[in-house]
Amino acid sequence: MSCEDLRIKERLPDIFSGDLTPEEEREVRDHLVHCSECREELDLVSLFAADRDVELPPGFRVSLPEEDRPARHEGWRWFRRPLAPVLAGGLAAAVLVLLFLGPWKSAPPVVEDGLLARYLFQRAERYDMGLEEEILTVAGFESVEVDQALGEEMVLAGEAETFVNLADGLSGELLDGMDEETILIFEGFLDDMAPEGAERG
Amino acid sequence: MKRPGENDQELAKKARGGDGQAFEELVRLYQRMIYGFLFRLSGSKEDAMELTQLTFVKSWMAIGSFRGESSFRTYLYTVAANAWRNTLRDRYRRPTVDVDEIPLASDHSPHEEAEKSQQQERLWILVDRLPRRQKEVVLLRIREGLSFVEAARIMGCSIGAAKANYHQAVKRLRGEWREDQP
Repeated sequence: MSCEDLRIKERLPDIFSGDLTPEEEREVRDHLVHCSECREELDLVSLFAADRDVELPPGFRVSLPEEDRPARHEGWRWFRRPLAPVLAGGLAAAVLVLLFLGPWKSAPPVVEDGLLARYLFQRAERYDMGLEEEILTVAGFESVEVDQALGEEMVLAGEAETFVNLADGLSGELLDGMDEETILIFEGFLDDMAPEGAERG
Repeated sequence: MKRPGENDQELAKKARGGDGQAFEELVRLYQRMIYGFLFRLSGSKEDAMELTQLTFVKSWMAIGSFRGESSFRTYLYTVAANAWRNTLRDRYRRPTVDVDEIPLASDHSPHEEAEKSQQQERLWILVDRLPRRQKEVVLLRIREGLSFVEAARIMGCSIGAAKANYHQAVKRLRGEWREDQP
């Protein structure tokens, strides 16, 4: 018989992390007594948990740069250069993203933005992610409840949330403090949205 | 002995102010965890070493972006997962898992150890076949013992999406595991 108690299933890993209260642990264990499916799932989870003891390879040691202080982000030095067309296009696009994606912060994520969809399509094509069909649907200005999608379609949700962060950064500290990955994504976004013929420095 | 999580935020705060020793302490606390995570994501010892190195260097160089709004652990795993995703974009995935020479600290007898090791080897082959998001969430949630909130933050998706991927992954693994049993 199939067990539909997702609440219990979601807590199984916590048995090995010690993150359950005594009451929660008792509840989980009581459930396991009569649920063979969850016992089977627990066996799998225990194999994952046992793997936490993987050791570092002999002799391997992380070595950090010698500088006392981390360097400032260099990935967007161009941002301060006189690149009016690109900058204007990028800022306009970012404002659009902010307008379109603002409600996502508290509501379930819903893609309704052709601009974002077009950009995601380009990225998917570039990285051969096999999402063209799904993204084309979005590019047709149809709403897609990303939160209900499964599997690789989740990439959409991840990308979209990154854009919320981008928009936040623009309205706040103008990209300062963003991690390098986000800045790279943003740079790609500006590249894609730049007016025809405009080149970044 | 200090454990990860105990005073991470304090160390990270010092590191953000340019204290290299504080960051080195964080490296010492987390390098094994991050290596293990990346080893299971990438399926390759060499890649895991390279990505672990990259993760800490990037984390150090971008420590100014860590504002303490999430835990340092979440920050570190986010950088690690991003590093792995970038690698994926650059080249094709390896079809098999490199599970040899993994020393596992354990109290089991040699026989139990061998049996467990074989089971784990089968499990990791199945895990390696999962779609990327499913693979990430099972590793973060089960292997790393992170909460769904942390996993979602690292994956850049909603908690609901992380849970949906998790249940899909575990259901698929359970089915394939049953079929794969000798």
